[in-house]
Amino acid sequence: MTSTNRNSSRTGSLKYKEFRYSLHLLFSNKLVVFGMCIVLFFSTLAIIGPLLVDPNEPMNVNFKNDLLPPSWEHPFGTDDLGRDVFKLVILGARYDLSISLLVVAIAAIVGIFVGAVSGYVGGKVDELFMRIVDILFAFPGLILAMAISMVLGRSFLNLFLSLVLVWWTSYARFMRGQVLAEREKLYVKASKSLGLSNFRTLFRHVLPNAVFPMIILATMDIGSVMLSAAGLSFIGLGPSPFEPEWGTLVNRGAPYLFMAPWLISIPGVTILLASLGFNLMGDGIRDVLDPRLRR
Amino acid sequence: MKIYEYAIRRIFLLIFVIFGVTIITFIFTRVLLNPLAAYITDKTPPDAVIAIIQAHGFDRPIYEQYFIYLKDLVTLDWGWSNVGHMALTDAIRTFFPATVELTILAIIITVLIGVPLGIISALKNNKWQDHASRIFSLVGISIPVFWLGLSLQYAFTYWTRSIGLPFLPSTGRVDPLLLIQNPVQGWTGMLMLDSFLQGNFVITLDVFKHLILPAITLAFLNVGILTRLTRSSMLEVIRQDYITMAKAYGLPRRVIIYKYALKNAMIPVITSVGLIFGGMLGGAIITESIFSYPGMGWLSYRAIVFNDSNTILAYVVVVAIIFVSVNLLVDIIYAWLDPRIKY
Repeated sequence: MTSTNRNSSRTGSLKYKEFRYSLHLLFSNKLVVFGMCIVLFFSTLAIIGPLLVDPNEPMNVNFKNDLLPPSWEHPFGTDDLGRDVFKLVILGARYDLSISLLVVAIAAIVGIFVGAVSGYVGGKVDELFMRIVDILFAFPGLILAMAISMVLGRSFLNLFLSLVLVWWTSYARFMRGQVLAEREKLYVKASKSLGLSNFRTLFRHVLPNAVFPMIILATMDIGSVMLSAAGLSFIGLGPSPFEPEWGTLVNRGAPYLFMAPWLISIPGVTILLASLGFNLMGDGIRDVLDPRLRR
Repeated sequence: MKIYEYAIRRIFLLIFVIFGVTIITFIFTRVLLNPLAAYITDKTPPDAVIAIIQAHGFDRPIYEQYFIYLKDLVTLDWGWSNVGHMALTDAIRTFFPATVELTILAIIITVLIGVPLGIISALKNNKWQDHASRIFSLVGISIPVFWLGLSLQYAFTYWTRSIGLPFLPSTGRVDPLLLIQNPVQGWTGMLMLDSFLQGNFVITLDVFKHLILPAITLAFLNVGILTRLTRSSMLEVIRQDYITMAKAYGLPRRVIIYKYALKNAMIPVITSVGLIFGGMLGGAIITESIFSYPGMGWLSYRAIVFNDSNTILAYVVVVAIIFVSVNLLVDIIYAWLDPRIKY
């Protein structure tokens, strides 16, 4: 990663070879390809879902059709409000995928920024940030998110905010460690002796070298964020019943467990598949990018 | 640095963190939410409200209120739990032992399955056993807990009963009728332990039956985590030079694995078991709410449904303090187990 660029064209081609070799490794693993297919499938659903089915389905309450078992007309049956579960699950892809991707992205950006500044500047800034992280780490994950969304009130946005507030800390701590290790390296001294500003040294030189493991961490986190979000909305801290997030669907179906098991099994299996896809992909990427695990 | 110096430093950090935790919960309870909610109910007469405001200092400046809040915490004057229909400290005393009981059983399941599976997976690296256990643990960490719980409930109470097989109870902690016929004295609050110590095995068995499904649900995710961790830790150790050396000496494989490799590989596993235990205590909300298991998680779930923030925040304080204490204990054990570690 930190190869000195003495001969840039040669390292360039080496990097390209390395990249192609990594891709080859990635695609030769069947499980990873399977995971990618799942992720691709759900991403497509999230993007074009509202074109495939009527986006107003969550509002389409019809008590004459409630709790119908799966049939040709309703492939996954209908829920207690008479809405088609198939359509709701398709529309839900947008909620679950967007929340897990956004939470991971924002948490990673905030965490990387705080961790980098904390590790590079050191001293009192470092002390302050790391003590805040320590305090937030004192709460087991879901508990803090639960308390925050309880205080903020129930909505999709608040669910997102509470998850970000919980998740950024692990990135900050990890990034700080990375930057601390990088800070002592020769190229940082070189960049300082060239008279580059601290800002430029940190964000142009140290950050690109230290950020790499964060990407692995982030890909591996998407699945668990999705589960946490669904879990929080299952216990009633998610969006309203008219936003067909998958956890909310299971929550609504739970009272009808013995009468209409399709109400929980369909959205449940959907969450399982989606998070499995992301976890498979994350594992594959980690195995390829971490050279110690290659062989 | 000696180990006790390290321990003392960590305890200072712990005290600091607990202060931080109380600041956060203070902001939640007394600044962002209505602080009075904890101390009055619908039946409180209006003229008593003023006395309560003065007693708890809600009319004082914020920084003074924080110290009053700390005083309330320490003197266990936590207010009223609307969903528990009793004082909060009583509610915690009543419901918390049930959660501890569930968590202990779940951690036993997690360790008994997760650790051997991880070791097998590492020793049979890239053979079918490895692939099978990796897929199993991947599914374990990808499965939504609430869906697993509901499915187990469907399969083992509804479906097995419908085809005439023996079935497990789906909700609750013990059969109330059975408890009336065989009363148990509450020594620790942990019903299974109490009834066992008092020789009341009918109740012990019944509580155990009630615990099986929730414990499996709670354990499943963590089995996945622990299997993966054990596997990678074991792989790392058996690739080290001293293992190669032991092989070169011609020591039997069994001795190498059980005497040399396992000890070092288990160190990170023990740490993470501690973390998992703390996480389970807090994360039992979903599991307990599905099985209506009357522990703290179930109480908090009801608190969410009925908007009783006081109960939730009290639970947050309790869980955070337990969690950091367990972490501290685990770190000290870690340092004690592994003399190579520099603090």
